[in-house]
Amino acid sequence: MKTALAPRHAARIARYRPRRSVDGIAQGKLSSNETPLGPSPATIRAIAASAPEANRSAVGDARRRLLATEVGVETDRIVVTNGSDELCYLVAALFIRPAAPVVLSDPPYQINEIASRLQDGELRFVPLRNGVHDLEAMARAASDAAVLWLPNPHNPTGTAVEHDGLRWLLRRVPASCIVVLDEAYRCFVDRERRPDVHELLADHANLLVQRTLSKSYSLAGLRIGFAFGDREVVGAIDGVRPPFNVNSAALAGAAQALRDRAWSNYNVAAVRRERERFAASLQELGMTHWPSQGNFITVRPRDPARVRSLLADRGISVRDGEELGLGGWLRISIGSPPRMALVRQVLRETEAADGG
Amino acid sequence: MNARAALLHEDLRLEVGERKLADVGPGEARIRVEWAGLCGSDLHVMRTGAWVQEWPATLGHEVFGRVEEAGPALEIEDGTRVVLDSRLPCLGCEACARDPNTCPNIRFLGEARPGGFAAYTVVPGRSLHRVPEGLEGEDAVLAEPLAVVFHALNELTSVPERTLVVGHGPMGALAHIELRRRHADLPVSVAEPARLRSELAAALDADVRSSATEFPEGSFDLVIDAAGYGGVLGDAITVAAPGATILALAISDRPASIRPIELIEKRITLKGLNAFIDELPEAIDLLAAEPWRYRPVITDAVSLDELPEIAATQLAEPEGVKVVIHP
Repeated sequence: MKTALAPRHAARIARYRPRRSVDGIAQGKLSSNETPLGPSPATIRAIAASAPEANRSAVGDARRRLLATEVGVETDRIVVTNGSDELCYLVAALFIRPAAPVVLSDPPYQINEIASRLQDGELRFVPLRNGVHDLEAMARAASDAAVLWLPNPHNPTGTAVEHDGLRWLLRRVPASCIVVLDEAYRCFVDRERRPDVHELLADHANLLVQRTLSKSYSLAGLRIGFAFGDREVVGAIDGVRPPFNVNSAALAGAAQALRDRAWSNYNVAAVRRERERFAASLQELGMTHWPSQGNFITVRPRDPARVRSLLADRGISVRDGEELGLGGWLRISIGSPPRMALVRQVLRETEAADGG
Repeated sequence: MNARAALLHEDLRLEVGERKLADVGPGEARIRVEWAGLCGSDLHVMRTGAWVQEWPATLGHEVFGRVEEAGPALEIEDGTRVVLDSRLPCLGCEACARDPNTCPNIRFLGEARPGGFAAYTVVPGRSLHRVPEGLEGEDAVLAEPLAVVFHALNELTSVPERTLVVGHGPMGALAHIELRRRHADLPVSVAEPARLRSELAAALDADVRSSATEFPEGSFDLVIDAAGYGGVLGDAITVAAPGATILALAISDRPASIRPIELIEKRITLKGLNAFIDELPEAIDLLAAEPWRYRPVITDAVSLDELPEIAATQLAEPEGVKVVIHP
């Protein structure tokens, strides 16, 4: 009999299964919370121009400085990673010892769960309350926790916690517990509802703020995430990350994308405009959905399988809530205006009072 | 056969109803419309009733769809994905005998016969242009307006140094993008008051101001009028540099007040341009190659039922850039 080689705790981890587009129609892929517009033309040129240097390992110091300027922190308080997911794994590897308590909402952002299980932490799931993080229950669960994962807006619901709620939570969580505030979708949040993370960081060294260039900068395929926070925490992460973790094309793209702020602004404005149109249509149809501050809306159709099938007929893939811990729901990324028109058409067909 | 269609009545009331489709004659095809673009000229007709030959009219000449039925003497498979040539040459004149592209009596789909703001439209076979695999309908629907832009920019005899685009609606935005594709480092300025339109102009790295008069006099060697407001030609002449070219693309019947002496002293070339000649296949090819470049102009996509409401908005105070309809 063959000896089991894979660690038992790792074998129990449910795999993250990325969805694919239907028939290769990229514009119809509304299952991964990507943005419908690509990078700016200048960013595309910059990425292409980096190709001749692909024989060199890339050193990201200059981009680290750029990102530090972008968010307004000193360079040694920021770490750049190969997408946000790498940061999750690094945080887990550093701060979660086997059996260490880890707090996360239920349903969680899947990568947070996977990275925590990989470290064999003791996962404490706190059910969402009306689709929103239950901060009181999370604070109680975190009394002796090593890490508390807090995606805000949350994925898969899109709901957001505001500044006061975060401050309340941070005051109750022990200073030894790393609170990872994942702000991947911050750019889509109403401006007045965005937390002032600098104020929170000033009082809480255990807060780590996580961001990405995947959304407003349309660089999901290049994988650029970053985090900023306390010098000691960030330094520890930066000290153990793979030395060349972000590739040269990604670094070239990031540098130009950060200069093209107006492109990012337009990208966000277009998504928010389409999100509002979609939300209004869901409201009109009386469909149950979470009020989203992200670039997706999670809805509960009468018959999710039928909706998925009708959408697939139109070249559109969406995320089955079953895979995200929300059975009976569908998470629909905000796509291009034409694709969203098709989504609305399908939902009118299936959800209107006299339809179905 | 009846089809759901947008009906523009002679009193300029726009509603969605049923209309009887013409039988598919020899050399014609019935097209199931998947996407139809709302053009400035559609809005002009909705505002004025110009050019319509038979009421109620079903406008819409920027069309992507699939062949549903080909008439006798037309060899094209059902289901073929096509965009339509919007022009309907008379085919009876001397020019048509030489080259229908040069017909002086040319009419347009939607005005001379029911167009694409409908579930189906019947068109001559010569209007059909195949869409290559891989080019999505929602991108291909931009082929017709892009061909118009090609036609206009192909008129330029030299590379401009400083360009002003007045009006960043669909034509202005496409012209801007196309200019930048041809000359990546060309400085482009844009005059546009509407928020989303000016945000798109800024995203494309333009110097954006809300009006042409905010730019210094004599600044530009190319000015593109894609706005069509009353005083636009006067403003364009003022900001044009000596020797400049002004391309007038916007459809407007508002009287324009200009001081001819400015035109003369600055030796300005003023060109009015309409439609296209043979640029449609080139536009389709380019959309197939680089759809990402043009996609940002589509800001609104609605159903046929929603057309009257969004058309009213675009007529009163345009918000979005390009509106496309999914009948």
